[in-house]
Amino acid sequence: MDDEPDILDLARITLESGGYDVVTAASGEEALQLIIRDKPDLALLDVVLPGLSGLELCRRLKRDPTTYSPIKVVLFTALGTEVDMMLEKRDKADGYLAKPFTSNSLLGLVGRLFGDTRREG
Amino acid sequence: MQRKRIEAALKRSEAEKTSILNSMRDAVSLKDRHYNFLWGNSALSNMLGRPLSEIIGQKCYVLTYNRETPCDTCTIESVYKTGIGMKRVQQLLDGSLQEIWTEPIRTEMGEITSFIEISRDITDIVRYENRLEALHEHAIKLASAKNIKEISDTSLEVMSTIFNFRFMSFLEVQESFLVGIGSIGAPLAEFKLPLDGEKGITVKAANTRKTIKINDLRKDPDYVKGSTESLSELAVPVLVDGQTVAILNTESDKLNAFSEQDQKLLEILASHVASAITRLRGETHLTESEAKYRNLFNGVNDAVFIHGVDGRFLEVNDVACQRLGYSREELLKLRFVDIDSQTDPELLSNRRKALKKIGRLTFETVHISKSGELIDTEINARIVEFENTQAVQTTCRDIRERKRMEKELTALHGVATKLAFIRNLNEVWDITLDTLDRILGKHWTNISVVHEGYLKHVKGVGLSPPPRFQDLPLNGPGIIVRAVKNGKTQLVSDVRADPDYMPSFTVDNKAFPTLSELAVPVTVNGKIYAVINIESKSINGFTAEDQRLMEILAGHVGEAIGRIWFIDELMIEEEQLATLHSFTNRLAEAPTFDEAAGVAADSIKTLLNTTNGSLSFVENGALHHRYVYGVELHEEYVQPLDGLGITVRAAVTGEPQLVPDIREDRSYQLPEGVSIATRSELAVPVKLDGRIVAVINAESPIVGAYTRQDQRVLEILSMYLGSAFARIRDNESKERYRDRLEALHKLVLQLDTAQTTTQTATIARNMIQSLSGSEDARLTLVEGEELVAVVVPGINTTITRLPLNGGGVTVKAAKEKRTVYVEDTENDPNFVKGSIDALSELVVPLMISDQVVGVLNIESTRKSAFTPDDIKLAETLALHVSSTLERLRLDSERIETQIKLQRKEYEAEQAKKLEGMKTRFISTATHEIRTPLTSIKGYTELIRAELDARNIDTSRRYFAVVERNVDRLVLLTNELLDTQRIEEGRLTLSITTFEAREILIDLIAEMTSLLTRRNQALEISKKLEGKVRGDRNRLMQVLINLVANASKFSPEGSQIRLSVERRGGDVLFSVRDTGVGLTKEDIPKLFKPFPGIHTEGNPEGTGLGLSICKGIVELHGGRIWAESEGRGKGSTFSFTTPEVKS
Repeated sequence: MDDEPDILDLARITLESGGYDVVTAASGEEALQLIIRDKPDLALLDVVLPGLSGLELCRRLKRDPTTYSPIKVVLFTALGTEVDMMLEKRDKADGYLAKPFTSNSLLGLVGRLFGDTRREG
Repeated sequence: MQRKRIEAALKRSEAEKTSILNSMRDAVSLKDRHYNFLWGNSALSNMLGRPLSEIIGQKCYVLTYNRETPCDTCTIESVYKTGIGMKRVQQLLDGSLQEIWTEPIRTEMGEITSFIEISRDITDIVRYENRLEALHEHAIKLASAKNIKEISDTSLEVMSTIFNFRFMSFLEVQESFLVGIGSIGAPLAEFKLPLDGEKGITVKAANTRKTIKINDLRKDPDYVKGSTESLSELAVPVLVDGQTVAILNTESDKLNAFSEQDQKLLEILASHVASAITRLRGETHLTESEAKYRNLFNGVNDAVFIHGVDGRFLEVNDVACQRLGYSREELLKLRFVDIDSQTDPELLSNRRKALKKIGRLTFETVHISKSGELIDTEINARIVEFENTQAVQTTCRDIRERKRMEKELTALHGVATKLAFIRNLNEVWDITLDTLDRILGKHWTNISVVHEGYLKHVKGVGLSPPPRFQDLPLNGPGIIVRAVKNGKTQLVSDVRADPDYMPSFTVDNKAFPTLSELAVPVTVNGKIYAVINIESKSINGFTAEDQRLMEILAGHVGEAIGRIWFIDELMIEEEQLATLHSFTNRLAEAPTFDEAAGVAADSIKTLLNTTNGSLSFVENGALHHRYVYGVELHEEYVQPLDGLGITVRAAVTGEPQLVPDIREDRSYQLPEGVSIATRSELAVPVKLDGRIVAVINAESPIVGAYTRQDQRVLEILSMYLGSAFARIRDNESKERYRDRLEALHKLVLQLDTAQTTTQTATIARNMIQSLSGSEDARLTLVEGEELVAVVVPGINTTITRLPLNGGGVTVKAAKEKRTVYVEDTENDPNFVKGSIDALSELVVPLMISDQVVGVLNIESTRKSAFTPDDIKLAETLALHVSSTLERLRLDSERIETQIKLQRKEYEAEQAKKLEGMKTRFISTATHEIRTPLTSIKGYTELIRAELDARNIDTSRRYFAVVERNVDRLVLLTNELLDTQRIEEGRLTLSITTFEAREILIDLIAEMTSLLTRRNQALEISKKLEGKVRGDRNRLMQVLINLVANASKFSPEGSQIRLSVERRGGDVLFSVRDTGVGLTKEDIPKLFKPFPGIHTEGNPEGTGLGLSICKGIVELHGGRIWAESEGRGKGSTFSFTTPEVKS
């Protein structure tokens, strides 16, 4: 999820190239609907968004694991490193990715979260 | 602490009491109003058979008496109601009989707080009668004894079975030895003691011919340890013709094992034994030779008759003739029945039969003399052969004395019991005289007591009219005086032969014709207190038996008096303590010194029953007798502490002074012109915080009026008084401090009105004077290196300047930054005299945040005038004065300082704000840069992969994304640059004048492609015809920004309106859309960099556009604003530029 269409596309293309099925959302509210509907294994969320931010969404997903299935959350952000560190302490995301990112860093992180098992599937 | 000391004092008195109590034979106990034991003596513990610890606190009747007997509670109730002591007899659980006397103890106010009870065991007295009866039955056995061994055996049997002795022996005098004949309970093998030996209780009894009773053998020098370990012993001599022939002896492994009853009974047994031995001797002699017979027959003390079977006398001895008053011839004509008062034929016949059967008989009867006198007689009869015929020989002993003794002794027991419960000395004397009159007959019987070197007559009976008695000096002659001096009974059979005799009284002015006299001393607590004296008009008026009876009576009397004294003392103690406690309770509540002192004076008067005394205070090296009673003093009596006086000594030494006779104490002093016949004095110091602050004293005209108990009472009182003083002082000073602090706080308000240092000093001075009276105060202020006095109008100040490097207490306080207190200025080398003749001074530095700005001096004309409270108050005042001085100093500088301060604060705040803004700006800018960079980086990576796969179309598409983001990045960096320029004021405008229309044409050209893409129309509603002055490109930039925003935030196909018009002196540009609109909260943020307003579908703004627009517009001298009616209701952005007039 990202409100920047270019970045949203970039992430989708990259993940699809890694063999994952990807749905995209341009806002937090849309992302939440998709998560409820499609029950994805992982959500890649931009931290700073108008409305329901990635950070808030992450918190909501992690607080109620039964409703939202055991979903893994990766937050990505273009904010500074220090801010990222602060965020890491406050929520329970499974991984963090700083913008700009490379396809390797994105796929590597996602792969690690799935223990490489989904890499081939 | 205080309580512990009082308890210790009470305990000490308790210990003394207990030691006296424990020496008493009677059980003594103190019981509270509910009849619980409070304390008791060891006799009580013995009586109840359990330790005192198990007795104290227990209900009395539960422990001691039959519970079903409500007697105790009845007695207590009755005593409680009537307030009069009572006596009762009660049987204890162990069966013993107790005669119990209960006396109430009252406070001064008459309230009964407790009871004293004395229990005397009368079991023995009651048993005595029974035992006496049994003894007589056995006496018959004694009379039939054939030899000394049988006498010994019978005696021992009696001692064992009737008296219940455990160890006993029968010793016979054989030549010059005491030889053991028989014993029970202890072996007596080879017992032989020389009579001329110095030791042995039995030897002593044999030689003195008197009973010896030892209650504690361990203390007796005469005791010779036998085969058993004995602790007490009783030895009674058996006397025949005044000589000791045998000893009855008994010992016990207990202390005090033998009672008086035991002694008396054993003595009676001894008299029976004496009869038996006499008879045995007579018989022995009879059988010896006829020649000796007559001599011996006549040689005994007993009357001997020999009569035939018909009862006619065949022979009588001289004693028989004398006793009955007949001549031998007359008697020989009579028969046995003629002299016997017994006439009962059956009894006489039984006697005859018994005699015939056993051959001997012992019985008691009463003989009648010729003159009709009745003679108690003990008869031993036996069948003998007289002149070849069977005859009866009767040995008749005159037992009148013994009978009388027995009777009197029994009577005396009754008297003793009576005496035990008498509380009044007079009554004791009455009973004594009454008893003597009854048992010794009509004589002049009288009692004298030892008093201050004299024997003083108390009372007497037997003479009418009563004689006049003369007091006898103890160092003079007189038989009763001798009784006191020797401590022994004086039996004078003929006073004419006694050189000491002097007639001591007269009847009808004539000396009483005394011929014989018996004087027995009465010993109380080991000291001779009185003499019981009896005088007769005949020679030999008194016998040894009389003496014995009187001695026994004197013993009882002495004991009774001792008990009365002791109980009196005990009662006084208890009453004193009870009263003391009522006073101490009052002391504990006394609110003022005066009241406490009044209570103390009252209590001395009441507790010590004294008329003169005082409560005096130690002040300024002297003792001020402030509360004096019993004497009228016109002015306060003051004694210097270094002078004489018993109270002074108590004040100086801190020790209680108990002076029994002030004539022997040289330091006694009286105020001039006052004469009090004081003989004894008691003075006890009162301490407060360990210092002697007062002395309480009592004086009495009687020598030795005060006891140690009185001293203790006063000591306890003094402790309570001390703590009352401490309490009152603390309360008063607390209250006073509170009041003064309150007053200070009110006065401090005046300081707020002070406008100058002089006013401040004046106000401070007035405050100090109104708070503490006579003191003066000065204020000095630090000026450079000097302390300069603030001159108060109307007050002379001798010191005006004090160098800070000089001496003096003021400088000292300033330099050391602490309060200096000079208690006595005359003794302080640092002191420099100020405005008044100060004797004490308080110097308080005035501080403002650790800097001394001045000094406050408070002076007093008294020594040690300042209390710790005063110091606290002075320091509080100093705080207020310093802050007033500080206020005055600051008043001038204040405004300037405040402005400076505010500006500084403002600048600091601004800088802080700016710093925060910058940080946020950089952070946001970074974010904004990273976003296109992410795309550029990501897509170039994708492009490389696509190119490798030769996917040209995909590559081209991705390339477009990169281009777009590069453009965005360029725009962003331009805008960042513009923002920075605007922020730093570096943006420069190239101002020209141009037609407004031109700019609109350019705008439409610029925006057409964007608007076409979004199918939006730009409608220019008002066209200004005229010229605009400004930077054409920059104004264009503003318009493009506004229209692009309008387009971006409006739906596709909507219309955007642009108007340019003249408004006032300005040109107004407005861009109106029908888009998302703005909230009220959004509007103020709009024109700041990165306002962070995100709305749905708001893509790719840099967040800097509007802030740059604002900068540009403002550089042109115009302003920019936005309006909206709310979300979804569209918005209008407007700005102005100054118009150029053509």
